[in-house]
Amino acid sequence: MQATRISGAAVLAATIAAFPLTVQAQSVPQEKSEVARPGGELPGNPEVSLVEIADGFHDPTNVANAGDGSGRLFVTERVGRIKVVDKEGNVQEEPFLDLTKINPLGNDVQTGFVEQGLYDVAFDPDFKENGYFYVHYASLPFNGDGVIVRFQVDPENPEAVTKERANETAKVILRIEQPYYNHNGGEINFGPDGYLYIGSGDGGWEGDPLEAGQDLSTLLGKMLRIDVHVPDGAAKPYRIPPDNPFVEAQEEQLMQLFGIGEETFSKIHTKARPEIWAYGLRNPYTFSFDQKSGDLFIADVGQNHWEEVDYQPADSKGGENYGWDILMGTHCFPLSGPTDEQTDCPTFGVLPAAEYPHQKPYPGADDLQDGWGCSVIGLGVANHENLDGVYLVGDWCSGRLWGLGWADGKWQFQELLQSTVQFTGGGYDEDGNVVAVNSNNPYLADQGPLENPPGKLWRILPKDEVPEGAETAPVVKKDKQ
Amino acid sequence: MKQRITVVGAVLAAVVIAAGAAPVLAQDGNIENTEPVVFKNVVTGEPLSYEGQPEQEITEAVTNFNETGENPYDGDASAIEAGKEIYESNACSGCHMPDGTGGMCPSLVDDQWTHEGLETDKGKFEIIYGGGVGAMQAYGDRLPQDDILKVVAFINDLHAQAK
Repeated sequence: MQATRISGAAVLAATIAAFPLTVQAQSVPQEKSEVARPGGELPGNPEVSLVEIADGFHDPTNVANAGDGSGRLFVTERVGRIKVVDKEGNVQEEPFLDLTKINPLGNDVQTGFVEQGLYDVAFDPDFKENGYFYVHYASLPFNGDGVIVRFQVDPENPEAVTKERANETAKVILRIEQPYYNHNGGEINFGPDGYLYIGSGDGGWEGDPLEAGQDLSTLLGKMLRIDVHVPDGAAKPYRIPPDNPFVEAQEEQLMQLFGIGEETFSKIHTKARPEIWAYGLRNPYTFSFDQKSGDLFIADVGQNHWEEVDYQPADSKGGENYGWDILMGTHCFPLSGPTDEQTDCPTFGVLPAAEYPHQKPYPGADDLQDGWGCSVIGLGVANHENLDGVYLVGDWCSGRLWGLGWADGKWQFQELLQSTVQFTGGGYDEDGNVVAVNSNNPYLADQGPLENPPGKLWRILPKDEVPEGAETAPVVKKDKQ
Repeated sequence: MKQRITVVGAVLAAVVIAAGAAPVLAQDGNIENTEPVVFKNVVTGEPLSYEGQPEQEITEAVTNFNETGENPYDGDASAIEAGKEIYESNACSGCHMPDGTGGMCPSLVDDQWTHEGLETDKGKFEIIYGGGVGAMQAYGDRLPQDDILKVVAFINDLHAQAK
């Protein structure tokens, strides 16, 4: 089945008609019944452990490697620092980048609200040659707007970027206005196509008061895709990739009224921002590319009742509408009562591959005992022998870790463990293992980015590959689950 | 790989060890030979290896609780009122809701408990003091034990009133 560029139900129906169901390769669900929920079974019933690499991070938000063969991991701390961890798990005392120092008026990073801070770092695919890396953070001078800024390492000092070097090389790529202090998105990653993808939240409050998810004229509530490899001094700090779905949507053109098909008209969006790759997202705080297949998984944090994981095959043409704020997961928004076999709402846009409920799956529901969470945190796609192409998904609130994989012709969403770990982000080490970070920062009792108890960096390994003597995260015993 | 050093909260440890040596007066007034109360991590079931506030006032209620596992503040109106204040000013109410019915976090007023033993004072103290899964952080370093006991009394009261 092809995941085609789908902009509406009519096209979706046409797609289904044109491609009879064949269920070999993993694909985007076309029916609500194909969307996985907790309780699935992955092949071989894999068991994993969270193996501690290092600790002592202040509200770590995410982690990445530089792809330079150094084996280093780079942990972003909410306050505005990037900490370096070497192959042996030693944490370098001097930060790789310290945004708390680059502005003489104080920290350049806004951390006033728990969702604000330094979100993520992404290293240029050619980092080893050009020394470029990119950060996404809430800017204090810009009142919490998200900024994507490029810095360049000094080849004479590859261990750390001094404040002078940071100021000399800083290039603001993009600023995303943030009207409210929550739902800022966060993760940035280079795709296998060399373009920079940016997870952008709907701007905040609750219920998407700006209707940003469905509004193609705003960068909020989107997955963005830009080409940052433009010459310095160019008119714009980035280019629009020529195959972005809305690249021509807003171009001026002569109006023709007759002799044009419905589909052509449907592609005219005079206000559409060409940076948009996919839309209808609420808060895609994390997302990951499968390093092997190039497939994209987006963890879209939901509101009150359901969390959502979206899947895009590597050959996606973009333009997917993931439904927010018409749907959350497969469910109506707003949800007023029980969803009867998920049939209450018509399908809208592209369905997720998986969804999981909060403790109350709808208003007034009895509390679930198992399989629930409250904030989906995508970590990365594992590619181990017994965990092949499985997207690892942590939950910020329940400490659960799920695996999303394809088996028996459908998506399977299996709980792998429930831990004490409050997941905040994840990525890969240079060997391709999934790594994760956790904070110890209760949302409602934030003591400040340097005052909360420190968090840790973990490597997620099959249980039988845990090194002897390694410290692993405490988990709820299986017989208790 | 770093080794975690197992440190039982200094105050807690001292009291637990002391309690182990002496028989404890049971509620009905009979002298019993009682095993010392061992506080556990509700997730792993292992003895609690977590250091709370190093300096705090050890009240009579705390000493009593450490010995018996029973909360002397249960049913004490002024302690319940104080517990309500602490519950509301330390984020408990934001996640478990002011009436304890839960939302992002589990309900505290039904009879379904996410870990074994949470229906008891000891279990409630253990998860607040030493933490549970995910976002249920350890509050032993933020709250003195006496405050935790008052919160437990408040939760017990909420639970009873919801019946």
